[in-house]
Amino acid sequence: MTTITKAKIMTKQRPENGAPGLRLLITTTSIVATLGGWALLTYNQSGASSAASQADPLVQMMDLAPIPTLIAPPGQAAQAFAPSQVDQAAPSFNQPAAPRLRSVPVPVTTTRSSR
Amino acid sequence: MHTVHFHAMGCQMMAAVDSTHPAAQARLDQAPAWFETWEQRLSRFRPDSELSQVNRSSGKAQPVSSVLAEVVQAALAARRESEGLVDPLVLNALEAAGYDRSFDQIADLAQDGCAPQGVETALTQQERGISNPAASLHLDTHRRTLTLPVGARLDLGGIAKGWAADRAAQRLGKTAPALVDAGGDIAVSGPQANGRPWPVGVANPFDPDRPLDLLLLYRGGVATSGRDYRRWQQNGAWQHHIIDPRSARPAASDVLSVSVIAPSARLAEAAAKTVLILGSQAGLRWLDARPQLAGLLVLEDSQILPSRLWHNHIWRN
Repeated sequence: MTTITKAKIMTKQRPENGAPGLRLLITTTSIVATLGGWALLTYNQSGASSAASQADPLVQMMDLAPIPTLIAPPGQAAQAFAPSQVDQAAPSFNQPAAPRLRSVPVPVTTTRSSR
Repeated sequence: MHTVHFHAMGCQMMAAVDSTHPAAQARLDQAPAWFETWEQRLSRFRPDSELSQVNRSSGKAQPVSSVLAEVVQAALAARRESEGLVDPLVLNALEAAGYDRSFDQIADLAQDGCAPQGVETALTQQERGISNPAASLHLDTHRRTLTLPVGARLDLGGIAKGWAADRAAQRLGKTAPALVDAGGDIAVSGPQANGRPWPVGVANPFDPDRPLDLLLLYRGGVATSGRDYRRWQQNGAWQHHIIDPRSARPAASDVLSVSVIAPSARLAEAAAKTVLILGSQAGLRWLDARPQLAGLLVLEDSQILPSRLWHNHIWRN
């Protein structure tokens, strides 16, 4: 009987330490705190992200252009070194360009006595 | 390059801008209207021009426009620089020599077999109004009034063309490099857009189709004065339009034409006229004494004489 009584007593003591109201309060508080934190974080990220990206250098880094690679995009490479352009700029062997200073300039007009 | 050609001040005009920009083209299109405005102020052939009104009121102070005041000021400067050889008070002498109407009309008369009449023998030098021109020609720049000696009249023909070429080139040059050719008096605003000088031919009075030289002008102007074109016969004698104030008659000179390069077309025009009146020897000395000028003289006997600095300005192979 004594044992049973002790057991009963111990059984009675445990519910006193982990009362269902307290458990419920802790659980509810944790859930509310978690949900509230997520909500606050979400609000801050969506509402103030543009301002933060301008002011915060760390955020600015996120906005930087991609790091250049050694391989240029195909379109640009073709444009910059187009052989046709290089060929057009250089005089061809068949038709050497005469030095401009040696060519006779065409007069724009002629000075003469009033007429 | 855009160009515009038009007739004004009794001459063929040409203006050019070295640009394809619409603003430069728009400004170029205004050039004929500028010359029309100036001609209405400065022409002696228009009875209702401002100059004609002033010429009818000699002896009295006349209020004048800023344009007329400016050109008279340029004419007075030319008189000082030429030591009196280029004088604006030569209209009576010009008319006495037969240049009493526009040259187009004189040419038409000559074609019809009629010579200009003039009153060459009827006027004394004093009556021509140039015996002592400095005595009473007075421009008051503050009140902007002009007083001519009694009986004297102004001719601003050559000076007006040089002044107009300079002014038009300056206006056009605000939008693009420009060249203005006012009947042979040429002004450039600066080098061409590519930094190179403007190539300008120098006419040969004996062979107009074969230029004597090719000038390269970075800035300033060039003008040619000659008695090879504006000339006529009066009483069997050849007359021309360049009056020597010392005799009050067309200059007796061995120079047929002279082209001068100068810091402006106005200065070039006055210098060319001075050299023609002085004659070849004194004219070359006068040019060589002025480092800002260079000239090429063509004599009546077809000799061609460059001044000391002429070759600095021409194209050479």
